Amino acid sequence: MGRDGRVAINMRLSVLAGFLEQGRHLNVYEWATAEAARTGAKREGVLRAKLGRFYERLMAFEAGFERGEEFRYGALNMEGCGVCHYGEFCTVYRSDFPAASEVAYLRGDSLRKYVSADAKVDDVAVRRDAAPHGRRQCLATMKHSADVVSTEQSRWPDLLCSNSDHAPDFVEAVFVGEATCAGLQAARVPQGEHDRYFADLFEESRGALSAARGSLLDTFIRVKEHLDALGVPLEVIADA
Amino acid sequence: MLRVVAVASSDGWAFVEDGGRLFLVRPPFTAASKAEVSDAVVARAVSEHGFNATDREFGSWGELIGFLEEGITSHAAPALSRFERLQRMLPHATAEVVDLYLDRIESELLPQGQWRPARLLLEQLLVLDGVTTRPALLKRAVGLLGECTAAETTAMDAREELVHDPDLLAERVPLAAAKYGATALARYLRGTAPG
Repeated sequence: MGRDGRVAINMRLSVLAGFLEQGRHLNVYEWATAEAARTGAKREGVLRAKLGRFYERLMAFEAGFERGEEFRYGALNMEGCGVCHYGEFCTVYRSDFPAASEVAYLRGDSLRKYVSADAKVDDVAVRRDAAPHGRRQCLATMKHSADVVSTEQSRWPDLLCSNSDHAPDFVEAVFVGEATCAGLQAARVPQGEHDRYFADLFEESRGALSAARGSLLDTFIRVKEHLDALGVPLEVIADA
Repeated sequence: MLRVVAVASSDGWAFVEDGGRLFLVRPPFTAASKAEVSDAVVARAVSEHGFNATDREFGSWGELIGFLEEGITSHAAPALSRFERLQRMLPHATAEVVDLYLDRIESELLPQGQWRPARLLLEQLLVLDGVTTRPALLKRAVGLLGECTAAETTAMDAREELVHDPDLLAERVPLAAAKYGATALARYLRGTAPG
């Protein structure tokens, strides 16, 4: 499943729970708009408070595009658990999402590769590297041309989406269009994370689970029940 | 000094600066769950993955972890009861998880005399489709429940004997009997439920 290269977004447990409960994924602008409406604060102030010193860099990248505020970011995924630094659950979307005309792929994390520390965007590099949906495999192959031949095919998903320390490496999918639960094909979780919830449940049976771990366990239970209700499998992926 | 530069409180995740290096810290807060990252990872986490930029200092890892754990519980929905957790989670257990639970019941709970949690788990496991449809698992779980009941009965019988025989009680726990008196101790034990 997903060998042909799907868009995936990693989410932490509570983010996934919120996504499944509300049915849609909010980008930072949508979140700020909702937060501003809720609190009566100005949206820009909400954004500045949330993004802190990263505000200028994010604004710089998205301001350079039409519909930049609608952007969502994912990673090209052909199996595996995605970019775990951002969340242990990897939500994988069906092949028809996002629509081919509404997604572009970049060689890596756009904020790292194309935006300098002083918030200057390297437009030339963005134009050079961007690939449309139909060419995503070419982009991935060119990016990994030096390693792919010497890497066993079974390890290609890890090559495409590497969780090495310091900076995970992936082909970034930048897309517009609402990410909803209806587009979900599967959610994946590393074996170790999955097993930990069952180890916690065992501890809970003898009253030895901390309040914090109990809260996480409750959220995991809700997530699993929502996924079941949607008919979306939670795939447990063996740890690398 | 540890400086939190971004945090996702509801999950207890944080990016922490320690001695000029940046780390992602998250539950279960072990060395394996701590990863060194670059500033770009923090930028993406804040801009797209729900982290909030912050600037908060802590004197120790213990203090920091306490703060993160408190964040998890303070954002959580009302907690499920122990029974609800077992009843709602166990149906999702794979055969491997059930097998592991049975191993742990056999090697930890029963030898430690933790019959109540052992029985609670076994009774929940025995109604799962994943167990009732697997003869080997079912047989093993039933066998362990039988062992649990037998061991618990034996222990309760022994306890009954003790609480009704102050002389025997004094012989078994001479120091406590000397301090509180064997009859008072027996009376106290009669009023407490077995663990």
